[in-house]
Amino acid sequence: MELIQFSSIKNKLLMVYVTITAIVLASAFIISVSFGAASSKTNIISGLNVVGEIIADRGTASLAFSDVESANSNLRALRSHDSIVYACIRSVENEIFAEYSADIEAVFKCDEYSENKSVNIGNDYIDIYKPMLLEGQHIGSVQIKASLIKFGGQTIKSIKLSLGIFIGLMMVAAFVSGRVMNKITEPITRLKDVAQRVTDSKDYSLRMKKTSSDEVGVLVESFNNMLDQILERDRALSEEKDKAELSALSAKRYAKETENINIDLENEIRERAKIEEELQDLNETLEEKVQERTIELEKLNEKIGDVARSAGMAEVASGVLHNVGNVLNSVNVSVSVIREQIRKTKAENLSRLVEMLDSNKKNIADFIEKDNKGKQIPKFLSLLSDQLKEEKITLYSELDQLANNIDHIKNVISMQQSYAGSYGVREKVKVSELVEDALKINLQGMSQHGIKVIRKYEDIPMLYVDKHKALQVIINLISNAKYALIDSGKGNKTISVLVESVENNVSINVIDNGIGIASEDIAHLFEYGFKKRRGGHGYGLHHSALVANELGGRISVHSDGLGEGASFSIIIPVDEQAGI
Amino acid sequence: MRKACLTQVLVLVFALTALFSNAVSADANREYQLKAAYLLNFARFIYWPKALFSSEIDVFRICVYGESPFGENLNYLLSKKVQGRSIKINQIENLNNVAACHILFVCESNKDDFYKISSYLPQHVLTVSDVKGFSSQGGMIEFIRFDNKIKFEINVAQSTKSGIKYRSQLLEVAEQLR
Repeated sequence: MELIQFSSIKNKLLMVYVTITAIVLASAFIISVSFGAASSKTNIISGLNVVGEIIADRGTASLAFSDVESANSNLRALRSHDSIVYACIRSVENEIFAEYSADIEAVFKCDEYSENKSVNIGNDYIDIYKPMLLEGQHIGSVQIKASLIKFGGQTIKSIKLSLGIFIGLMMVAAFVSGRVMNKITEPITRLKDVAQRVTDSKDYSLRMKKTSSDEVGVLVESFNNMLDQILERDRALSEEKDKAELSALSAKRYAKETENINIDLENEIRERAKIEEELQDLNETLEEKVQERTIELEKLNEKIGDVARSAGMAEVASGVLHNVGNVLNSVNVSVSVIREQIRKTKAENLSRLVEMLDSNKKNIADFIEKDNKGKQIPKFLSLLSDQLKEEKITLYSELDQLANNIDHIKNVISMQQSYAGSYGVREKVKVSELVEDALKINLQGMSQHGIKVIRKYEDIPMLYVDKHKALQVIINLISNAKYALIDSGKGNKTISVLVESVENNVSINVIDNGIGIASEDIAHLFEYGFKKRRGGHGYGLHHSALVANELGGRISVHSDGLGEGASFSIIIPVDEQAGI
Repeated sequence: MRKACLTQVLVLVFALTALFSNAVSADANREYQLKAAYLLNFARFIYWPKALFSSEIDVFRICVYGESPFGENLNYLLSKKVQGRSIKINQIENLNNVAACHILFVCESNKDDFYKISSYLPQHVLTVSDVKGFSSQGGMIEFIRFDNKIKFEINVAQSTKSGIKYRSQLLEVAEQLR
């Protein structure tokens, strides 16, 4: 294999041709020999048969004319067949008419002819028997004996001959292939030489002459083109090289400059590090200061919280006072009514009657029976009694109202007390109770103006809120609704309070059918100082919105316009973590 | 079959020998026996065109011109066949009738007459004789004696002129060809 790698193309091609030729010839040789061997016996028999037929045919006249000489000479013709060792002709009377023996010393017997015997194959010899016929009449017979050993020898001879032919043909093939190969490889060899020269001398201007237009011709052309390109590139490369040298020079210069800059930079970095260190120190001081300030701020914050708490409490107090004030008003009225009632009481007439009776106590009966005034007394008494009864009823009713009002005041104050303590503290609150408290605070005015309250509380979870703040907002909303109703002067005044759970929030809705809100006002409703109602201070809703925000919720409003009522909703998250 | 045939031949041979032992010498008798057999063999080694026969059953004629030297020997041929045709022996005195013959045996007695008209003989008639010089004087096959054996000469040129075609085996056996 290595030999193939290092030998020339010509030798490779030659090897291929010779190998192929050898394979083909050897195959033909092997096939012919094996076929020959396979059919040799059959061939021997058929060959002998033919010879027998010829001898029989040729011998008929000799036999017919009893020409022994001619018959013998006929048989002698068998000499040319190496394998035939003996032959004989018998007459119709079965007498030996003529005989032939290839080897005089060998003794063979001429067999008697029998019609059903045409061939006899022994170990060493084959016998063929042929009848001799003249016009279909049997006139004698021929026997031919062939040696199988001699046939074998013949086969070996033919193999030797074939081998000789094979070698001869191989040599011819090698010679012819060599000649043809020279024609094919000569241009390639030349091309190789030129390539070698180009490689050795680095002279890219060398060219090879194209002598044919076949693949080799194309190869030569491509080779020349390649050399052209190499030449061109060589030129370009040397130009590039010059350029590269120039750029290398400037690069060196740049490198030097860069180095200088680097040194400067390093210096700067060192300085910066120093500054940074200083800054670090400053920072630490600053942190201390910030900490101090934070503590201060925290303190301040606490104070502010207190202030806010006080402010909240003041707000509640103002609400309470407002309510109490209202109730006190009623109390005042009640007291005046009672006082007036007592002042106008007909009971004084009774004292006059007592005086009259006292002056006539001796003849009281006559006085009552006969005196004109005395006659009036029973009538007067019955009238008085009626009047007093009436007065009593009025007084009772006023006193009841008074007692109610005082009770209410007591409630309000006790409520304020209960909220006062809880300001700024979050606790679990049942929303319905919160709403009820808010309603109670506003109850006074509502019954007075015949406002009907509709409650609708869904069963919702406890809220974890600043109870006081939440109450403030609800009170504010209910109070607003109340005033909106009062101002509307409608006959059918209703406040609906709905408590429901919306997703994770609690929604408290206060709906009235009062004066409603103009659409242009809705946008300003929660602004600080926005007031529509006479006597309003303008920060109720603003404050409520802020508080709702603090609780983690919000307030929303809806109104279809003036006279159409309004609906306020405060939405507070149920989540314990939300809000303040 | 062959044995029967063989016996037949042997019986015939003995019978013929017995019959002619007084009239001719034994040798002469043997000679003409052979010559009769040769005539049959000649007939068998020659191509006879079918056109020569009027029908399938037409016979093969051997004519003897002159005083026959065969005696009874030719009768042996009557049982034989040539190309499947029976053989008929005709004794002729006039060569005008020769056209019907396939083989014409010319006897010593009439040789001169024959020579006179030999070149006018019709085609496809094989002329045979044991007259000395026959094959060189217009005849085709001449019996000769050679080494005390009966042999024959063939004048191929004369035969070819007459349209006679021999099988090669016959020519091989012939003693001499002209």
